[in-house]
Parts: sequence; C-alpha cells; structure tokens
Amino acid sequence: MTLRSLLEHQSFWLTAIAGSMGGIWALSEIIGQFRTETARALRTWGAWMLVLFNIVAAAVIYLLIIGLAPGARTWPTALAVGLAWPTIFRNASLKLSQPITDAQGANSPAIRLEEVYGNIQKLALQLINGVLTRQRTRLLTEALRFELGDLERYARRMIALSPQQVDATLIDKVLERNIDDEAKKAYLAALVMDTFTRSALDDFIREKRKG
Amino acid sequence: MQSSLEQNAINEAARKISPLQQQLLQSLRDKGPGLLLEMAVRAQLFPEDVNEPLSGLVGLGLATTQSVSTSKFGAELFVLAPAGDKVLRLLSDPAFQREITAPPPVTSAKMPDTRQSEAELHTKLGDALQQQGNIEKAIEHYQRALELTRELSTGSGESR
Repeated sequence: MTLRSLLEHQSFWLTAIAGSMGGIWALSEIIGQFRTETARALRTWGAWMLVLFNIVAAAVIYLLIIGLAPGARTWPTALAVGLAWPTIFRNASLKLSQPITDAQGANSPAIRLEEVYGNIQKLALQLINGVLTRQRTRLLTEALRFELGDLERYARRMIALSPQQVDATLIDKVLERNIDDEAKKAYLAALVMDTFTRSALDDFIREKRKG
Repeated sequence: MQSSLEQNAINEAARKISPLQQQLLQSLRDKGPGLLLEMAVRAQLFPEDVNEPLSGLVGLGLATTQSVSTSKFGAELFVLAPAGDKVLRLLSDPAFQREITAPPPVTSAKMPDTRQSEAELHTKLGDALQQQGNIEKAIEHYQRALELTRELSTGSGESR
C-alpha cells in the first residue's frame, strides 16, 4: 500500500481522529498534573512517551472496534473512541490470559489492561518529575553562589511587589534562625522559586550575572 | 466504580488529617510535586515542621514519595496520590465540612453513670468500717449502696 492510497483511505483518517483525541487526553492529564510547569513538563521525554502511548492505544482500540463492527467507520465513533478510550481501557475486565477458575486467576500471570496503563502512566509521570526536579535543584544550587544579602533583598522586593499573600516576617524568621548561611540562602531561593515561579529566580540569577 | 470500603478509608483519612496536612496536600495539587524544602516553603514553615506531617500523609497513602538523586534540598520528592486527591475533593464538599465541624450529639444515655462505682465504693467502705468494729457507720454505707443499686435497677433518678 502506497502512502497516497493510505491517505485516501477513509479508515486512516478516522483512526487518526481517534488517535488525536487520545493524544489530547494525555495532554490534559499532563496539564492537570503540572499546572505551574506545564510548558516545561511538555518538553520532557516522559510527556511525549505518555502522549504517544495514548495516541497509539486510542488508534489500536479504534481499529479493533472497526474490525469487529465495520459499521463503526464513522467520524462520531472515531471521536467517541478517542475521547473515551481510557474509560474503555481502565474498566476493561479483559485479561491478557483468561483464568478458568478463581484459584487459577489468583496465581495466573494475567495482567489487567488497567494495570498496564497505570504502570505506563506512573513511569511517564516519574520521568517528568525527575527532569523537573533536577532542573529546579540545579537552579537552587546556582542561586546559592550569590550573597545572602542579595537573595534577601530580592525576596523582600518580590514580596512587596507581588499581590500574593506572603508573610513578610518569614524572611526575618529565616535570617534569625540558628542555621548556616547556605541553608538560609537555600530557603530564600526556594521561597522565590516556589512562590513567584521559577522564572523569578531565573531573573535574579541573570540580574546578578550581569552585575 | 469506587468501593464502599475505599470510600470509608477516604472518609476516615479526611477526618484524621490536620489543617497543616490539608494545606500540604492542597499545595501538592496546586503546585505539583515538591521536595521537603519546597513543601516547607509552601506552608511558610521550616523543613523540620513539615517532615512529620508529610510522613503522616505518606503513611495514610494520601501522598507518595519518589527518590531523587541525593540533593541538599531533600532526597525525596513528595507527590499527591490519587487517594489524596479524593480526600481534597471530599474536604471541599460543603456537606462533609458541615459533618466534621458539627459538635457530636450529646445524649443522656451516653453520659457515664457513676452510681454503679459509687455503690461499690460504699460497700467497700462498709466492709472496712465493719472490720474496724464501727458497725453503725458500716450499716449507713451499706444502706447507701443498697439505695444506689435499687435506683440503678429501677432506672429511677437522673444519671450522673
């Protein structure tokens, strides 16, 4: 089958619709999980693994459905399968190997499709978390190179300018604590990064580098 | 579909967690996973203040941990577990809020009745006085014990 004949085939476009819906579903899952770091999360391998898996799974399920019921070759069905495939998948009582009795089921290597999806989703989220955490710790470590006084002034400025409710005495409490300066700097850098987004700490570092 | 057993566990966890733990869970949902230092900052507290509440959340299965490469900001990343998300949803439900803030109903039947132990004490006092030879006083205590026992058996008098 040539590419041209494939593109002319109605089933190809319907499968693409189902797959795209699956991809959108995965994207919405990532957006929901990483609300404050969506763009960064989407630039990781884990995110693309999850999106790709959802696209392929939705497409395969649609192909299985049209294989069993040729009447399902319609765009509303493709849309519905694309949107509802996780529900179909998660609630599927299908097992990769069907046990004959309960006792056999307990010991059989049967894997529920839901578990497969859960494991892949978990792995993808762990990969995303790993990358984002490494990025944040790298930024915090970089901020530790600067003077405590600089970080303090920047944090105070951010609190004063921001409409967010942050206890201004928190900085005083940090500075009064009986801990070393590195720990104080780490806290202030984390305060700026977590309260005013990562870009705020990035700006501080860039500002200080410029001198 | 969520089983009733799971729902009971969610309800119990929602009642058990402290306001600080609720705040930490909410921050996990709003800001995503965080290291110990980040979790402390989100609560505007210090790492040692949030370490135990976070461990409690992990113990209840409301949060999970993911090991991260050794870092001076925390070796574990705290992540909101699906059960934690359900607990937060439950805690934002006005009906559940009313349920947990309402004082427990006080009924007279639940008030502890001290008459039984009082009667026993009068009997013991009577025994002690009798052994000392103070029969008159002993009889007074035995009579009081008898009165209390009768009250209890007929259900008369107010419970104390």
